[in-house]
Formats: sequence, C-alpha cells, structure tokens
Amino acid sequence: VGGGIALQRADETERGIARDEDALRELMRRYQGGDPVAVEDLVRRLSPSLLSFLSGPLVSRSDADDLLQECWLRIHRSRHAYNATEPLLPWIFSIARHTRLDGYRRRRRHLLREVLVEKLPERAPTPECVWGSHVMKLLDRLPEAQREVVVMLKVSGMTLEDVAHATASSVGSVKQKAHRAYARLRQLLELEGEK
Amino acid sequence: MPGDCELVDAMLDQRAELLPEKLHRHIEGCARCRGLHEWLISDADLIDVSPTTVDRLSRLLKSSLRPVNPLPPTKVSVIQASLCFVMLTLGFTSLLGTAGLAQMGRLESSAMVLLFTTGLILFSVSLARQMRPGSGTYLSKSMVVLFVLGLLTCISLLFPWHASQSFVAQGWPCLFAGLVIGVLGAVVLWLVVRRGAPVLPGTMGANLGATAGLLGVSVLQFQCPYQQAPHLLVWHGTVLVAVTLACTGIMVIATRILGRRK
Repeated sequence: VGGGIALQRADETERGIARDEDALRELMRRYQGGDPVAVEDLVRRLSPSLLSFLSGPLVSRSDADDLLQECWLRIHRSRHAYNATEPLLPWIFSIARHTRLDGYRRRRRHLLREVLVEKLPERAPTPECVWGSHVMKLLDRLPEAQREVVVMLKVSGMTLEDVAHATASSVGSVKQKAHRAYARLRQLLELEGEK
Repeated sequence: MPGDCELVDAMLDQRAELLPEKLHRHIEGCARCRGLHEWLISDADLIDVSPTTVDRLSRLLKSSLRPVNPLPPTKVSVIQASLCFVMLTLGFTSLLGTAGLAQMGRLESSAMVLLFTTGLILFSVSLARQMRPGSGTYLSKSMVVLFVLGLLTCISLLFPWHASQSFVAQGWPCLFAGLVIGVLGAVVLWLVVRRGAPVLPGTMGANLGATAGLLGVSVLQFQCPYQQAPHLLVWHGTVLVAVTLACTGIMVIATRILGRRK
C-alpha cells in the first residue's frame, strides 16, 4: 500500500512538473508578445532557481543579485531566440550558465588586480549560509562542472535531457558528471561521519 | 552493510525517491545513506528572492518591452544556411569556370563533393543550434577532427604528390581568390545568422568562418587547374584556416566592443 501511494505521488509530481513546464512556455510566449504581466510572473517564478544556480561558495549575495540581473537582461535581449515548441528551462539555464561563467572570469580578473591590505575587511555572508541542508553545503566542494549538473538536476528539477541541452553536451556526459558528483558527495559524507 | 549502501547509491544515481522496505531499515542505521536519502527526497533548497528585487527586475525588463518576432525552427535555419552555401558555390563556380572539375577523375570529384557536403551539413546544423541557446550540442571537437582528417586523407591519397616549379606563383592567385570568396561568403552567412543569440560568440565566429572557408575551398576545388596534393593542402587549406581565424577574431572583438557600449 505504501509503495502504491508513493508511486501515485511520484506520478502526480511528474504531471505537476509537466503542467509547470507548459505554463512556463505559455508565459514565455506571452513575454515574446510583449505582455508585461507575463514578464512579472516569469521573473517571480524563475528567479529563486536562477539565484540558487548563480550563487556559489565564492559569490557574495550582492554579487549573486548582480548576476541575476545580468542574466535577466541577457534573457530579455535573446527572447526572440526561444522557440515555444521547445522546453524553456534548458534555454534559460544555458544563458544562466554563461552569465555565471562570465561572472567568474570577471571576479578572477578583479582578484588579480587587487592590492593587499593590512587589515582584512569583514566578509559579506555568502549564500552557502542560506542553503539549508547539509548536503547542499557539500555541493560547493564539488568541481564546477559537476556542481552545475547536480544543481540543475536537483534544485531546478530538470531532466537529464534538459541538462544536456542547457550545457551543450550529451546525456551520457551529464550522467557521468552526476555519477562522479554523487560519488564525491558520498566520500564527503563518509569523511564527515568519521570526524 | 556495504551491499545495502551500494543499493542506496544505485537508487541515488537513478534519482529514484522510492526505496524498497529493506533499504528503509538500512537507512535508519546508516548515517551516510540517511544523509543522501534525506537530501534526495527533500524539497529543493532555493534561495529566496525578495519582492523588492522581483519588482526592480520586472520594471527593468518592462522598460524596454516590445513584441518580438521569434526565430524560425532550427530546421529552417539549417536549410537557409545550406541554400546560401550551395547558391554561392554555384554562382562563383559559374563565374570563375570549372577547370578543376575537368582535371579531376570521377573518384576524386565524387570524394570531394561528398566531403564538402558532409562539412556543409555539420557546420550548418552547428550554426543553427548556436543561434538558439540550450538547443543541444554544437559541433563536437571529435567531429571537427574527423572531418579535417577525412579531408587531409582524401587529398593525400587521391591527388598526385608532385609540386610544380612555380609552386608559389601558382598559389598566390588561388589564396587571394579563396579569401575573397570566403569573406563574401562570411558576410552572406552572417546575414542569415545575425538574429541568433549565441552564448559563445567566439565559437559562433569560428563556425561561421569555417563554413565560409569551406565555401572558398569548394569553389577553388572546382575552378583551380592545379590539382596536386601540395598545392591543395597549402594554398587551399590556408583559405579555410585564415577565414576561420579571422571570423573568430572579428566576432570576439565585436562582442567585446558591443558589450562595453551596453
């Protein structure tokens, strides 16, 4: 009986995701048509996932907010390049992924130009403090390519095919990265357990 | 119980939230597996975005909101790019003549047409995908390597390996003509792909340049009367490399300049 209920719940969740995807596509189609209500709705629905994806161990909250704004501006400029017959999330996260990479490169350039000071300024709290579960904090210790795959799969609820499209790679490559990430997570959990 | 731990790992790999009853008992006693399972079944930890930020972002986007015309499907862009390539090849070949085609045998001409067609399909599909973010893999490195190796092998095996006395004198006109055709081809292809929104401008430039360079090489192949392997590899090959590098550079620089202005 328990298994039956669980299966039914999984089926409902799957249908819920499909309904949500359809709603997002419809909103994007209206956004392309110039509907201001659709813009607001899209920003409200997608910003939490985008912000979670754009954040990271070395990104302060204000930097993450700046990246979110830049990401939305890129989405806005490229909105004509979305085809309403295709899933929306791979399109959105492909843009977010490159916004994050460009942000990382910018930060690295700034770090190289930085001058050493005698007294270290107080560090702004990073979003990792906001992330609730223990495993989510461990994600920040994964290599970037593995982290982004796990965040897209787990946080944004994307399918393997969607992640493959968003990262311009094959499903096999995404599976491999996810597998390595999970293996690393297990290692980290075991190490923490031993401590 | 390492066997049960492995079963939990396998479920995690499949992103299966439903565990058999036996594993539930194992999870109760294994901290590591409990941590992983709790994470798997938990709701995603999303960072909250304040209503003020949502309002600010919405206002920012609405300030320049107007209806846009969506890009046609990927297939249409592939057909457009391919048609441009074929029309330009036919146009330039009819203008410059087909002396090269007369020099080649049936095997050589069939192999070269097959290679150019393969290259055209690869590059135009990749161009069309790069116009749309999140539309899947672009041209993979292994495909490019395979295509280049195929081209080099065909030329090396099918064409004679003797260089004439006037190797350089015969080569310059080919290089010049190839570059002119490549540049014109790049401009026309850019008109086809200009509405796209590439996330990697450098890769898009390289792809565009490679397609235009291939156009130059294919026209030269049918027009050039010097059908020897050294001439084809050095002078015709340089056209492909030079146009690819030039387009990559131009695209990267143009994106930086436009990015600074924005």
